[in-house]
Amino acid sequence: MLKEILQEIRSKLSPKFFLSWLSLTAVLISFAVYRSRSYELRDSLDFFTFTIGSILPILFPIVSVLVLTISFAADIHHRFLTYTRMRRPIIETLNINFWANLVLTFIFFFCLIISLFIFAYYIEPLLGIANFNPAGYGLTTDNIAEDTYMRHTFTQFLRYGTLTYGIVYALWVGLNAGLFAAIGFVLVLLLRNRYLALSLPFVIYVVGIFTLSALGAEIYRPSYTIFPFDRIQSPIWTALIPFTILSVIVAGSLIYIKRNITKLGNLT
Amino acid sequence: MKLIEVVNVSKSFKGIQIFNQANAVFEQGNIYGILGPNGSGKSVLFKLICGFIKPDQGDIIIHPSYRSRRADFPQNFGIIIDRPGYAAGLTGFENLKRWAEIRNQIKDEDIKRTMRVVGLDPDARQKMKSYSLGMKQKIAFAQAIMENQQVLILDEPFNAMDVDSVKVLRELLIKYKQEGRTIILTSHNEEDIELLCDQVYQIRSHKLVPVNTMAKV
Ligand SMILES: Nc1ncnc2c1ncn2[C@@H]1O[C@H](COP(=O)(O)OP(=O)(O)O)[C@@H](O)[C@H]1O
Ligand SMILES: [Mg+2]
Repeated sequence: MLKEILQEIRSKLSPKFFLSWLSLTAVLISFAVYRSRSYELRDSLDFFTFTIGSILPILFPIVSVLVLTISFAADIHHRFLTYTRMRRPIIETLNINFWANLVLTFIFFFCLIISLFIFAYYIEPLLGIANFNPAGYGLTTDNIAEDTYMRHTFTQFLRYGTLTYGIVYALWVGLNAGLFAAIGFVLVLLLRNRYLALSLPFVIYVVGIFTLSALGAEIYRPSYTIFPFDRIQSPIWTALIPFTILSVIVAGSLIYIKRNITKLGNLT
Repeated sequence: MKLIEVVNVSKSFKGIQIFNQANAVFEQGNIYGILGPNGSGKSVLFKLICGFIKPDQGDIIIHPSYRSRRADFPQNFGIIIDRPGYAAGLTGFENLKRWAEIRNQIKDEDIKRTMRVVGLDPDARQKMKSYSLGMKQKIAFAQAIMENQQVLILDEPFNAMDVDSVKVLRELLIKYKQEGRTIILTSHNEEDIELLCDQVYQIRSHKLVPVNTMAKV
């Protein structure tokens, strides 16, 4: 199985994949560079959140489905998968596609966040693009580090090193992207209309934001648990709650799909 | 040898009956035709045989030599069901290669040879999304035979194909039969059925009714 998953991943690592990653990185950095002129920032952490916090929280559920789930949906629609069925059990094919899809979406977002992180922490200081004025926020060289530890969710990890934070946060975004890709994957199998199936993750995300805000549970909004920059810091476990709930729903749907595989018209 | 037995099979979708206590036997080494108007259940029968869907009642019995303990589908079957399938962004050859890689039994050269047999250029760089229906149909035909499958389940195999290709592929099927392979096909073209089939089943009143034909060849 592992061999097949790796083979599937390799076949999907196209120039298009790299180009999308590069262009999204470039767009987010340019946007941050442009916007940063009219703001005074505290430090590199501010610049980092600046690159992410602008449009990525809204693009996120769209891009996480676009990376690969959309091509999986097309393969089902064009019945490519039907013709694998006399060669390999369909459950195995779905497993391979599921993990390849999840891992690649994870890689895409992990690399995206890491590049933004490297730019903010290691390249921007060389270029001197941002307009830093920590004193304007009452911060001095003595207390600024301590301040960053408490600024946003996950910056707790800055205590253990700048890179530690960068990697942990990139892992977190990658995992969530994988989760949204998985939600799309499951819906593509369960619903006959692939456009509906592919747009539902976005709907879930947006409706989640509004209903949770309306219910006063803002700290569980997906846009905040994944991109925790528009509010003060929350404990990390709060971010894990929506993630866990959605993961359990996906796992349940996968079990349902496995048990009802001969009833899924999409695969025949 | 009874290769496939359809035993008292009933199947309905959301209350619409397709088969009701249908029975049929398919022996090794023959060519069978399935007749029936649109929507009568020809493709459903093929999906039942391949295990894509399960009968509500009754059984589909595949001869043990075409079953495998590891897999949930019959072995050594080449199929075209309903419509051709493809990955839109790949060429015809790349599509066939991706299917072939699953079992890894044949080489690139075998794929290319099969493509020439069905009348396709193996080196064409055209992506399958811009293939005509007839060309897609040829790819479907190629994947059904490229691994030397011994049982062919062919749903409208000549659909949208040019006359010359139809002629070549009909002859190929007859040759396969002489080699002892088993073929079950549907076709809207009566000539196909008359020329090729040893026995014909007609779907009538949700059953498979044997029809007498003059077996040729
Ligand atoms: N998965 C499905 N869900 C609901 N109805 C189905 C499904 N598959 C087939 N049908 C219905 O069964 C009938 C027979 O279909 P089919 O076997 O494709 O006909 P044909 O004889 O033209 O190949 C059609 O009315 C079709 O709509
Ligand atoms: Mg049909």
